[in-house]
Amino acid sequence: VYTDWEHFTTADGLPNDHIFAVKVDGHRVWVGTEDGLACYDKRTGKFQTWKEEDGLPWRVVSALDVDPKTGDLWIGLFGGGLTRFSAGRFDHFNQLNSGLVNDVVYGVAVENDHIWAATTAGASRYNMVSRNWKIFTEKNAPMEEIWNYGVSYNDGRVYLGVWGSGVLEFDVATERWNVYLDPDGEMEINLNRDDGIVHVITTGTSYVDKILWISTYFGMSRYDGRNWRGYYAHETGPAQRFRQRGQRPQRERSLVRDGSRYRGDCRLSHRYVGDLHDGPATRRGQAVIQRGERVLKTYDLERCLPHNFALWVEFDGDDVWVGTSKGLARARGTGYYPRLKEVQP
Amino acid sequence: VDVASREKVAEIPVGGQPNDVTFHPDGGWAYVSNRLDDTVSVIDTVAREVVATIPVGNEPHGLLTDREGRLLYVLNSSIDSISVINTRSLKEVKRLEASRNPWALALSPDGSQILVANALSRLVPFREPPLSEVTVIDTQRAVVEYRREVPGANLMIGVAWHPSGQYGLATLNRTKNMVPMTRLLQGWTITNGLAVVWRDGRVDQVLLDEPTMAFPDPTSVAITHDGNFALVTSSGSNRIAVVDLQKLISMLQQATEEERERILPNHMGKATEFVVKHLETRDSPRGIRIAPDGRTAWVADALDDSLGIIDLEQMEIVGRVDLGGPREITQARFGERLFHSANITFQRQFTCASCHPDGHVDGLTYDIEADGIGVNPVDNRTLRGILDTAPFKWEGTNPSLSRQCGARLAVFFTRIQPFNPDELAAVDHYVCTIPRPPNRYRPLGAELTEAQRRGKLMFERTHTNDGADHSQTGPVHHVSSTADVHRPPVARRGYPELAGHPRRVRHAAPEQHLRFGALPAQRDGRNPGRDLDHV
Repeated sequence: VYTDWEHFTTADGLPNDHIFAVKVDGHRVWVGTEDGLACYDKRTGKFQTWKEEDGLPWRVVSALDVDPKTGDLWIGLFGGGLTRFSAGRFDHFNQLNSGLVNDVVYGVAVENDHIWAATTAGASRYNMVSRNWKIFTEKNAPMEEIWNYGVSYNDGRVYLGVWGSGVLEFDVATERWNVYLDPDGEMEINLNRDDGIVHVITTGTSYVDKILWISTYFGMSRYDGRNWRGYYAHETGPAQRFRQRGQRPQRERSLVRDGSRYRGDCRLSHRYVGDLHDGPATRRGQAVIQRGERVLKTYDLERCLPHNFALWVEFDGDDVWVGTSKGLARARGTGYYPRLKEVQP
Repeated sequence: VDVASREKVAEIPVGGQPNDVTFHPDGGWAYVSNRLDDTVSVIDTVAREVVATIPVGNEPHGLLTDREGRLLYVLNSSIDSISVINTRSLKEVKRLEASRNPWALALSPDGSQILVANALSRLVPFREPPLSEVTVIDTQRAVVEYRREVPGANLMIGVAWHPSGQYGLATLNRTKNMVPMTRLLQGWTITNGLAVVWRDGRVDQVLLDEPTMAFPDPTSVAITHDGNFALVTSSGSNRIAVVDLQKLISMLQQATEEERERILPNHMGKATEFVVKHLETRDSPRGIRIAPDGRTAWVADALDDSLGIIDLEQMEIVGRVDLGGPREITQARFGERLFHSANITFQRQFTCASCHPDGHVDGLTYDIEADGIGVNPVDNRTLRGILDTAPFKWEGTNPSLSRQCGARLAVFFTRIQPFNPDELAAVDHYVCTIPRPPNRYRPLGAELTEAQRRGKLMFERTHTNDGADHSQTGPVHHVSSTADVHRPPVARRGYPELAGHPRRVRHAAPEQHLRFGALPAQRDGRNPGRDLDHV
């Protein structure tokens, strides 16, 4: 249970307290905000920031990913396209000067020598070596709608979370598509439990340890390649309230990555919830452990999340970084869940 | 070349237009960049033959391995990137972003960093001075770590590290393209010098020019093993400057911040304080290296097809290796020498190649109108493939190259006696031999890509989407006539009264193939987009 929280706001050097994206790269923690980009150096504890007057092509940074080969940072700009930040230089790609299909970029992901951008009018795939673009829309991909909310890559597969089109899986080796849709087509209910994705309005995807996690407007899904499992607010506790308030509930995605720490178990019988207790004035909070709806234990915390509206979680070893609407938080993972037992299959 | 006997002992066929060479640290392999073929030839140095050819990016130039010989870095000059090759698998493992026209590179003495000199300035906003970059690679991670900015500089094409590891030196010129070039003798246009790129990121600039004798086209730099001297080649004046580095660094360290930032980069009287000697070379000295034993330096006199050997103790050229060039000086070679010589210019400030390196562009926008108030900036134009594309000049007012390179050159640029008729004929002939690079976007005979088909349809359409007649476009390759263009007014900073007076001018249609790889794309240098490359 994370009990050691630290907050970062504009008072600490952030350009803005509305945090949309976080990406850890070694000692650097890149932070995308509503008005600028920031980099927190874990060695010095200092922020460096870039706004439009510093060359950032657009103020709203909505997505981040780092190319592990080149070290370049790829930045999705909400309304401003895509930019590569290479050793201090911004290279701007938009729908007028490149093959980026739309300037409203929700997500970016580096896949080998390619960068993917999820945009409001389709997805773009840019080959950083040949410098060729490929656009995916309803014309050449099984994309019933083109509003791409999120993109992720791991282990040879790209996953697009698309508003109204479920999840699209792109196999890099074969360049073929596979689609995951809601079998019953119902929104907030599942007629046949665990028959597939909860709903086709998906917002985020994550493929870790061969497990695909999907956040939707109406619940979270887990798929191990054979079986589906759905998670709903009324079953999994207060954290799920988030999903209904946030437009882009990446938090669930983070929780599912958290879930991978439970040896891939999907039961989530133990839940941790950081909740704002007394409001921003005190920044106190609670950690609540539940089994289902039954509260097992509650911890009062001097510091917790800066706010419950959280759009991004980024794991950093045993630590975790959370982007909220009232600043950035880091939870130290020292002694992280020491009594965790391995789940027997 | 056998360095002991100082003779050429073999010729090894490689790819097209070999440009640079480096060795694997164990000496067993040499790597040669083939600029025409976009490849690197791997040579077995014992067998003296190419044993492998590695595809890389467009127009590779400089190349170098890391200290262990694990990775080979190749500068793809025309696409502004760096191919990183695994020397064991001979596969490209990643591609890094350079600045514009990465040209030469140098490994730090401790092996931790590579400095990359980029020939062209970054694309800068309209009416702003050039801003060049020395790119710093972290060799441990093989990533670009820093981008050191060099304001006001251009054509950085030579680079070397000092043995102390405290700084590197890079050649540069400082082109005053923002100044209306009324008359060369009323001021200066291009100055030439060195950047001192400190390990901590600071960059100093100093000039190698003297008030009445410039140092045109500084091309390459090498530093003696004891760290006392830097040897810098001037391709345009056939000289090597010997720089006393202790004096240079001492001068910088004693200067104030104001002097280092604003005075020394433009001070033409300082070179006499640290340049202790000039060595005369043959035609167009370019690459220069110190031999591993530290006793000699070797300079490539490119247009003499020979290597000069410098005894570093005497600091004199003591020998020469003839590489077997043609004995007869052809008209094209004569023209090429003239093209690369500053003898045609007042105080030998620059050569034709200063603005047209490799017959291409320096990426700058100049104001060469006689008005003297900067109302008519024009983008530099490439000479690649210029044969049969008359009339010349942006407005098509020069019917022939002879007029362009003869009287007009003297009036507007060089301000001394123009080329005599024989020289002019030779220069024109040489310029017409400058080849157009192969089209990397569409190899000969290849089908159009899907995007190219769409572009072709748009390019050739006769009506706009709303049905209006739109038949303004001409043949794809070249339009020999001019067309009236209603040029919008351009308000120069400080001259607002010039705005609001549109000028009707005649434009020679820009030859699309001449624009290939020659950003920016508009006549006056604006719209520095990349989209034209896709056309």
